[in-house]
Amino acid sequence: MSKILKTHPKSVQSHKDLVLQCLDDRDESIRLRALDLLYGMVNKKNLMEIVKKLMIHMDRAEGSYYRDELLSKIIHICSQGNYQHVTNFQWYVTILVELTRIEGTRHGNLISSQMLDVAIRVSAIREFAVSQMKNLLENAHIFANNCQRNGICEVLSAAAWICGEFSDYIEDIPATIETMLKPKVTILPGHIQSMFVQNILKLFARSVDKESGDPEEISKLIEILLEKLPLFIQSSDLEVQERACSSIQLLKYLQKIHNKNVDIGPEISVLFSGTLNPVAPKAQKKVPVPDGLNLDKWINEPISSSSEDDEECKKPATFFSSSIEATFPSKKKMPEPTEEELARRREERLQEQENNPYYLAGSTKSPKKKTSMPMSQSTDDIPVAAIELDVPLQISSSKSLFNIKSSDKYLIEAREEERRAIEKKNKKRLSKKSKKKKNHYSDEEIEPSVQHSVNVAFDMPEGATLSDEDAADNKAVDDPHRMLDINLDEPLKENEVLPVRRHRIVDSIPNDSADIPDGKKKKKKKKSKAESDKPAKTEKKKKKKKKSASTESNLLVEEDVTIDIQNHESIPCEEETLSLPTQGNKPKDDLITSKIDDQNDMNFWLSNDNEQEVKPAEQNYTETIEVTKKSEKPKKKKKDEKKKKRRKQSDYEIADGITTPSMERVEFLSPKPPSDVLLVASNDLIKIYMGTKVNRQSNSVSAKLLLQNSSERTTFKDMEFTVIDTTNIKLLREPSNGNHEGIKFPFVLQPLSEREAFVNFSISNVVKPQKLKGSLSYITKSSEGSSLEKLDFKLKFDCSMLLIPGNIDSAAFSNILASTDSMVKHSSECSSKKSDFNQILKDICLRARFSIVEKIDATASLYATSMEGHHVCLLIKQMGNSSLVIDGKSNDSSLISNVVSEICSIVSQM
Amino acid sequence: MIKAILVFNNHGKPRMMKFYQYYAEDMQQQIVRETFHLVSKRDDSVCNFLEGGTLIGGSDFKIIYRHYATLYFVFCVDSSESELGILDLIQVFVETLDKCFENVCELDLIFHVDKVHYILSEMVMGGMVLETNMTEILTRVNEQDKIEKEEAGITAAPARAVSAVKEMNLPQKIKDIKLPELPSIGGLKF
Repeated sequence: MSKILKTHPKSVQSHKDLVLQCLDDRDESIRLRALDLLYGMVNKKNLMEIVKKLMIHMDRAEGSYYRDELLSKIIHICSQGNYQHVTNFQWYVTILVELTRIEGTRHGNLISSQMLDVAIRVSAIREFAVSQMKNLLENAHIFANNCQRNGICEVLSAAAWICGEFSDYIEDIPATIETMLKPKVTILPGHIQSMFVQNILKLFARSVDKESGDPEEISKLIEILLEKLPLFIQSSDLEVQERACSSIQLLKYLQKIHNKNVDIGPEISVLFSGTLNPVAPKAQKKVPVPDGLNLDKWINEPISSSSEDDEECKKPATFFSSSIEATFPSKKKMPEPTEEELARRREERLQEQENNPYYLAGSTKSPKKKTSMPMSQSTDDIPVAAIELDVPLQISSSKSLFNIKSSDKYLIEAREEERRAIEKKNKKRLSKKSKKKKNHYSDEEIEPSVQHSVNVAFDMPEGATLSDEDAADNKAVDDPHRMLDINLDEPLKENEVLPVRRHRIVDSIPNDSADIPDGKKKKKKKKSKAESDKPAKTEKKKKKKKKSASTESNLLVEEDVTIDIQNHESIPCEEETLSLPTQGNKPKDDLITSKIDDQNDMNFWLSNDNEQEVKPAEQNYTETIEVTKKSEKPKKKKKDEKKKKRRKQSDYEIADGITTPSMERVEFLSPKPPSDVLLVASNDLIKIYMGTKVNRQSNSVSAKLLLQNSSERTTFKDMEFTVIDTTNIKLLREPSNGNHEGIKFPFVLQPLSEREAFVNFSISNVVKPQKLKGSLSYITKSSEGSSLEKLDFKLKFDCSMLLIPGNIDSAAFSNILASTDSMVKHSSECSSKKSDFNQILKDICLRARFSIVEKIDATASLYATSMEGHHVCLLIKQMGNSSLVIDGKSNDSSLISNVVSEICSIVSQM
Repeated sequence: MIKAILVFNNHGKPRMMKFYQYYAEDMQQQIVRETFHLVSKRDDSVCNFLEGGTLIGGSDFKIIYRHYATLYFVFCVDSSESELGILDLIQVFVETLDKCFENVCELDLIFHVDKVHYILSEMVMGGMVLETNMTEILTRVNEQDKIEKEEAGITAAPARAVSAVKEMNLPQKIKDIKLPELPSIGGLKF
């Protein structure tokens, strides 16, 4: 509809009500669109209502971008068509004043220019406007705080100017002068201050004129001024300084004259007599060149640019100047290409383009993208008898005022601007000389209210004609260069401002780090809670310590999980362990361990359970202790697990009669085996369980053997563990032993007790499950006697048992998955009896050594690496019918298929 | 022309990104952030079409998005595309994903990133919409899956191979060998 609006406003108007309704919509996009359409909707009657509604919106508006939009819209709507719709200008002025109270807007310029415009053109409203402006000035301190460019403080300049120019309407001029002289004024930007100074002078002239009969008053006034004006001399802005200096000098001179009792009134008033009218934008160009003046001839040597400056200085900073054209012939340093030249070049270019087979002709879309931006006022909106202002309505449309194409554009523009400003302020324009075209535009009245006429006159040099037809920037409509009209001076809009990256602060769940025994690993990086990637691993730490300092089984394996990133908060436990030497077979200090155990206990129980953490199921069991290790911390001392077993134990079983040094630790038989070990072999008397863990340091697998003596009277001793090595998996023995000897366990297994032992294997092929045959020979001792027995077993090493849980974040995970080096897929489906997805996940992580990367509702992605560095990624999804879909990806196909099938079997066994 | 397709979750984490116009890496991240910023503020009942931010091209480009549970699917298009058409395209895309992976969720997009891109390529190529019919797309994707499986061969599924070998009943097969009829020597007459 916005596109139709331009051509057929009548048809759009019929939907006026709907559009007005849309204004109230919750959706911001709809409101913005409705605003666009409003241009065509307004007429005299509803203008006030609409604007009122918009003002209400403004109060409620979220986001200053929207507010700015509203503001500019209000102003554009009102100023449409030379204010054809505004019936009550008092109301409009009030609206403008109210708008100044909106904080944070960047349209100070717009508002101020509007005020100026209204005040200049609508002569009847001047009195009211002046009174309003006085109020503004008195409240100047509110604005002084907001001193950004284009801020609200711009309105102060407008206020000052209006007061100065139409000072007839001010009753108490000295008071106004006082307000303008307040020291707070110096905070304002320079151009505003210069405006103040100038207008103070104007006001003074007026007051002198008024009170010409009262010399006392006048001298008082002069004194006050001379006292306060020096404040401005110290300003850093040149303009302010200059004006202040000149004013002070003038005042001093006047004072002298006045003290000689000469009436200075009439003279001063001559200073500022005459009305200032808006100047047409092309006025400067149309200044006829006086005869005998050759603009293209160079005055001096080309090098010195001082010639131009001299010109400027010659022009007197006088208050009197007879005509516009007198002193400012525009000088151009570089000759512009003439029209023929331009035409010729264009021809050439077009020719070239035609011949060039690769040239793509430009689109014929509307080149100006301004139509969708409400901020910029396209000239299409303004009817032909356009308002041409010298104070631009747009924030920076200096471009539309000056149509210069040469490369000296900015230089000349700046000079023109300055000249123009001086022109307007300093020069007195004698009205006789300039021809004015006055178009009186009268409103058709519906109510007999105050009728104001808007003066659309503007000044032109003698003999010049209005040439608004080339308002289209002197360019042909299809000139491709038209698209280069980008207005860089506009400030960034809200949607153009780039978002600033801010550090996202997340409350990290206080990592219950001291849950060392529970093996909870946390990430060092902070992640949001919702996606807390805190995979909890159950790392089984094999603490190895042989009871006696026997060397033969001194295969102390340092456990280390290097890739795990731990938090540092589990310091208490760490430090205590650190205090112990890392090597050696020092006999344990029960006290320390029990203290640590207690601490672990406490911290464990105090920890809150994070959803993504996999609680090791064996917390309840005494035998296994999970301790997570910090990669940075030095290797921990191996603790005897049996000591840890103690912490939950209350009773000791006293062995019958026999006391050996290794006797002091006797454990209860646990009712069922811990879940990290699997049953390997059993007979009536003894059960063997095994659990594995990969040791990355030495690239071996350490197996924890749990030997349970389930008999009540038999003692086992001299146990020896032998296996038959295969090519893929070998038992690591002491070098001194032969390759086929077994490992002797030095301890004695009492009835109804269990012991742990550790053996290491080196595995060369991890992608397939391995099997080892072995046997345990032992001597049983019971009341009946002793005998040598053997128990055969097969150790099965599943692929999944040999995986190392990987601790990576989801970004790295995605990178691994997205990498193109061959990732093989395998998937399968299985059903599990359990329906608690979390529980299932924990079990999988525990048994198959995975770590959770991310978990969302009923889906989780897991990751692990193999000993040979293969990546293994899993996606586990729980379907509605209690079945689980497991997708796996890995570098190695057999590995992944084995792992997936193993997990399936784990799940189905659960 | 479609400029970019982004999928990110409620926290602004990108799950899938596809750009049909070159942007540097950090620009891409910036675009995702900005888009998330724009889109996350919006209520669910407001319009699904937005003017684009400046990064992705300025006022000529629109952002059309849909919010499903935890994911935002965002298409950045220029003015030549119909907004409602793109909205429908998003729906087709999501439904296709749902058919290919049951109960598709965020992690699926990460895990099966190749398959997601295959599906997307069936629909949109070089910024132009190719196919909008869901059955057609699914047929093609399934064909592709089949080819993949065939190419993977026996190494891809050793378990299958092993079980296939086990089930091969060799003694029975030997018994079943049919010898060709040989002329009997006994019939020869001298």
